[in-house]
Amino acid sequence: MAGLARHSIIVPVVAFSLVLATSRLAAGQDFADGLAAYDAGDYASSLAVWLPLAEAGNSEAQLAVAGLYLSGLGVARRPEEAARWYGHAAAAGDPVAQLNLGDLYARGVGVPADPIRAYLWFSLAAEQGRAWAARRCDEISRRLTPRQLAAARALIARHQPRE
Amino acid sequence: MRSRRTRLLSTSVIPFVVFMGVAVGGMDATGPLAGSPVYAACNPCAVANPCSPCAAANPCNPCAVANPCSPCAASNPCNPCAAGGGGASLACAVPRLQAAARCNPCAVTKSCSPCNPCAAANPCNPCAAANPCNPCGAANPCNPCAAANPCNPCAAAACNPCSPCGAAGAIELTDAEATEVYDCLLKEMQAAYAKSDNEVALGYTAWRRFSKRAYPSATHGNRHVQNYANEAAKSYGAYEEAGPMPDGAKLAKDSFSVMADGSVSVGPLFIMEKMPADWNPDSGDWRYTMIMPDGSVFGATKGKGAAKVEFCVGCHIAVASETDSLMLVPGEYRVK
Repeated sequence: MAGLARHSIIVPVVAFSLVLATSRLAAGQDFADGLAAYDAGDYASSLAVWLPLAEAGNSEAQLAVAGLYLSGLGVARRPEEAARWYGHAAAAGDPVAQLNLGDLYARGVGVPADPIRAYLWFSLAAEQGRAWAARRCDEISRRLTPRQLAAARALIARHQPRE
Repeated sequence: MRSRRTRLLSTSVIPFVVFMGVAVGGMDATGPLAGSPVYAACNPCAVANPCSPCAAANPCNPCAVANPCSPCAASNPCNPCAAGGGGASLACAVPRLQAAARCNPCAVTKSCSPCNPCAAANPCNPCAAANPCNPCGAANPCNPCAAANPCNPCAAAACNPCSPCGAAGAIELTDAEATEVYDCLLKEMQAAYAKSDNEVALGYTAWRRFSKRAYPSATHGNRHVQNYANEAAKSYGAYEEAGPMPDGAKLAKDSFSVMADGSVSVGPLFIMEKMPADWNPDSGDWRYTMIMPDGSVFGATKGKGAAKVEFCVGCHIAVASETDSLMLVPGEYRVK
């Protein structure tokens, strides 16, 4: 009976310790670990480090994961997944994610081609001082009809960066 | 005289049965080569494939995205899921490697292949229940998925030469292939790095190039790289005799990855800029910057994200302490 009671305490304690150890292991991996793996050409390891960070809302990791999905390094190439991760970081206000998402919309890669949304994201990145995005914004604006341009500007006016 | 049942289970029949099952199961595969019977037959994700590593109940599912050991990793030369490539560049590739990839070791039609893990008759078949090396056997001490297994080939340690998860080895290209791929990719690389608005990224291709062709660099993730140097760094061409670089010297190394299936993908742009004396003795007064293909600028020494390029500093100092931290172009690829 005493043995049973002891087991009923030990099992949850061991389980809790395992959970704690696992979460510490994951938490111990930071963005730079993934970058070191990426630099070494070990893309699968960099994805393993960056993906949990991206899922936890780290914009930098979301950007990096998007890059891996777009290039097909360390994971099967999935441009739509790249667009999804760029979308998370872009909505949070990351200018590099915004200009890359704009580029995907402009080219119709991973998302349906949409010059209005391309203009929106290029424009938001340009507002943060990105010259490349500003140039792309100008190019796109020359191809938009007045109605499309008005729609794009309305989207920009409504856009609120996500916390 | 063998019975009919024995004959049915014989090695000459089972591969055919497995082939048919896998081929039929692979018919709903999608992708550029989904219609190809060879790729359909190889598809380890085919529902009807009894060895499918994608089976949800498979604790060793190597296709799980979060699995660092995923054989679906594009950089894994053994990638059984590669069904027609899919690197970043849609315009550039290495035809020789693409042709070789069609000899996918999972091709069931090649049942005589000792490497074929899908052939039922293959004694190394990892799906064979009786196989003592069966990597799916939970109780198997050789189980490569066992976390505690020191020989675990899935161990993330990149130094494990056998690790299927470690960095892919360098893929050798001929002079002609390296030149063709680089020329094809150059515009993509320039367009990618230009997103960063970085001054060097925008203009480095106007500098002198010191490598005859793109060559594999083990210290840069086995990517193929080319070396450029600006006017202030022209003594770089003296290589071992160059001596310390002057303030204002700038070096750029663009890169691309070559996958085993012949697809290629733009890699980072590595930049070194020599700063005034005593700017940062810890880095030999070099400022390291790494620009990703999406235009992200990952760190600059003594700048934003400096910690992210610390490994560049450490590696260059360790490998090239005699040459002012400069990693020189290998002899056979040098422009004299």
